[in-house]
Parts: sequence; structure tokens; C-alpha cells
Amino acid sequence: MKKLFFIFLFISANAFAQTDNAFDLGKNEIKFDVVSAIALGKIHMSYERFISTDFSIGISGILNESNKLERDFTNGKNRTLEDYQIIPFVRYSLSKNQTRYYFIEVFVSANSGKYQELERLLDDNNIGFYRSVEKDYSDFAIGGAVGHKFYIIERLGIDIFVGMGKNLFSNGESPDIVSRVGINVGYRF
Amino acid sequence: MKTIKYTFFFALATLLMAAECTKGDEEFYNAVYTTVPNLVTIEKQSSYVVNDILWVNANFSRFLTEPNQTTPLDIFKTTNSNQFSFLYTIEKQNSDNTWQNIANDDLFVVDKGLVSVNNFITAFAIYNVAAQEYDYRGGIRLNETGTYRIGFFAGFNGQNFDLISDSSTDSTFLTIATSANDLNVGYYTFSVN
Repeated sequence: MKKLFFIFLFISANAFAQTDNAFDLGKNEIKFDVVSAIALGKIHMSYERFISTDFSIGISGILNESNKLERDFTNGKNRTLEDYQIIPFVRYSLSKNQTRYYFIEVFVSANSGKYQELERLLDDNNIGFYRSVEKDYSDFAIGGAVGHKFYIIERLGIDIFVGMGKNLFSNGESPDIVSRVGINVGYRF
Repeated sequence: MKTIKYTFFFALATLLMAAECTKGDEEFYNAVYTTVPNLVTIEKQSSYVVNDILWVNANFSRFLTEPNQTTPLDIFKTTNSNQFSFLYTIEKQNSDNTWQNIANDDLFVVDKGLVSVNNFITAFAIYNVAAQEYDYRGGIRLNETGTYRIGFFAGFNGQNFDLISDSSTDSTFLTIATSANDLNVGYYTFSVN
């Protein structure tokens, strides 16, 4: 994952060297998070609608398909296993340049998954024992992120972003924090 | 301007890695802590002479009475652990009243279970399938006259010492705060004549 990230850093550094062309960009963009897919086994897709030069709104969906995360959860290494997140977001561009800019983002996340909880159970002979029991959780998080967006060729954009949100109804069931991390490759139309 | 950009990227990279690490390092949930007193016994004598052996026992059933519970706890079923361990020390008093650690493999005799001797003694009570209990009986040969003490490390509750299961990663880890007989602030002190 670190290698991939630095490859993207290299690409983005080259993008800085390009002239500041204003492409004829559309108002819609669909994108796919390559890092989540390769490194984390998650399908992370987004749609973004540019409503002005400063603001855009969008929605992301994350579906966990990672065998490793499933295994870690089953083996007790992780307490929770996220199944999916649906993340509506609003982004504000920190520059007037539409082809290369930093942005800040506010998002909410409807997230759901499984968690393990230790319970004292009784066997047939009325003898107690502890065992972790699998249960479902659903929660709602609010959070923020920062990122950088640039176009390596016309209509092909890359977002690098990082942030986190806090689950509002976590009571030891859902994770306290949800991360918002990714490197999206998007097509704008 | 370039400096700002690269600083921003550096901050992004750091945050990205930190965020992923934070997500992976969730709190460890699969552990139980409980208190069951008197699981360790010092086979004390009214007096000791050179070449006596002072035995320390930890023989306890897999079914233990747990505080605030009306049913016994099956510690083997909970942990799938074939052994529980605990730590203690053996020290001898010097002429200047300081205490010197004298733990040494040559002084030890093991009757049941296992022992590992370094600066402190790690005793392993091994599960006996037939008896459905964990057994340890380890002895310290007292080869010189003088004043000795056996000490136990403070446990998770700050008072007793801990018996810890050797659970596999997918089983529940169990820590039992327990006590031994005739301890004074964690030490059993005696003289060898």
C-alpha cells in the first residue's frame, strides 16, 4: 500500500509540472478507488456533481469484499467488520483552478457491519464459559476530510484524500471512528 | 508554493497511514479478567534447615467459582488453554539487609508442571485431562542458612497476582487474580537454620 501511495505521489508531482490548462470539464464525475480495491479488498465507488467552481456534492459507496478482513474478524484479531458504508459528501475547493486544487470535505456515513462481543454462556450442565458472539451493528457517522485533486489527462482525474468521522450512536458495538481514505481515479463528463 | 504543496502531501501521507493503522489497531476485546483467591499454596513448615525443599503449588480445577456468579466458570472451555502461568521470585537477605535475587536453575525441583527460571520464576500449571485440573508443584532447594523470601508480582487488580492462560489467538484470554497463603504484602518470609 505504501508503494502504491508513493507511485501516486510521483504521478501527482509530475502533474504539478504541467501547465495550468483549463479543460472543458463536465459537471459529473464517476470514480473508483484503486487503492481500496487492491490493498484493502474493498469496492469503493463514487459519484460527484460539480454545482459551482467552489462546491461539489457526491455520494460514495464502500462494500467490503476482503477475505483478509473477514479472516481477521473470525480469528478475533479485529472486533468489528464493516460490511458497507454509504457516504454523501460536500466538497469545497480551496482554489479557483478547476484542474488542480486542494479541497476540504464534510461527509456523513451510514455504516453497517458485524462486531464480536464476549458473553458468559451456560452449557448443558449449567457450567459457565465465555465465548465471543457475533452480532450486527448499524451506525451513522459525521466527519471531515482533506484532499488534493488533479487531472493527469483531460477528463481523467485523481483524488487523494484522508479524513475520519465519528460514529454518533456507538455504544461499544460499532467502531468509534470510521476512516475516509482513498485514491480515486475518476472520469469527468 | 512548492514547499507548501510538498508539505501538504507529506501531511496527507502521514494521515493516510495513521488512519489505516488506527483502524487496524482496534481494542483487544477477547479477554476476561476475574478474581479467584487462594489458587496458589506455599507448603510451609514450622522451621527449615539446609537442604529442605520449599514447595509452591498451584493445583486448581477447571471449574472455578467466579465472583458475582451463581454458576461455576469452566476455564478450560473458555480458554482452550493447556496451561496457566504465574510469576514469583526467590530472594535471600544480605548482611546489609538488602535482598538479592537467587533464582537459579540448579535450585529448582519440579514435581508437576513446568518452570522457567530467569530473573524471576515462571511457573506453568499444566492441564491434567483425567483429573480435569491444572497442576504445578515446584520446589526450591534451600542450600544455605539465612533469611529468604518468596515474592509475587502485583496483578491486574493491584493487590493479588495473576494466573494467565496460554490461549491461542482465536480463543479467549483469561487472567485470574489470585492469592497464596501466608503472604505479607506479597511476600512469604522465612529463615533457614
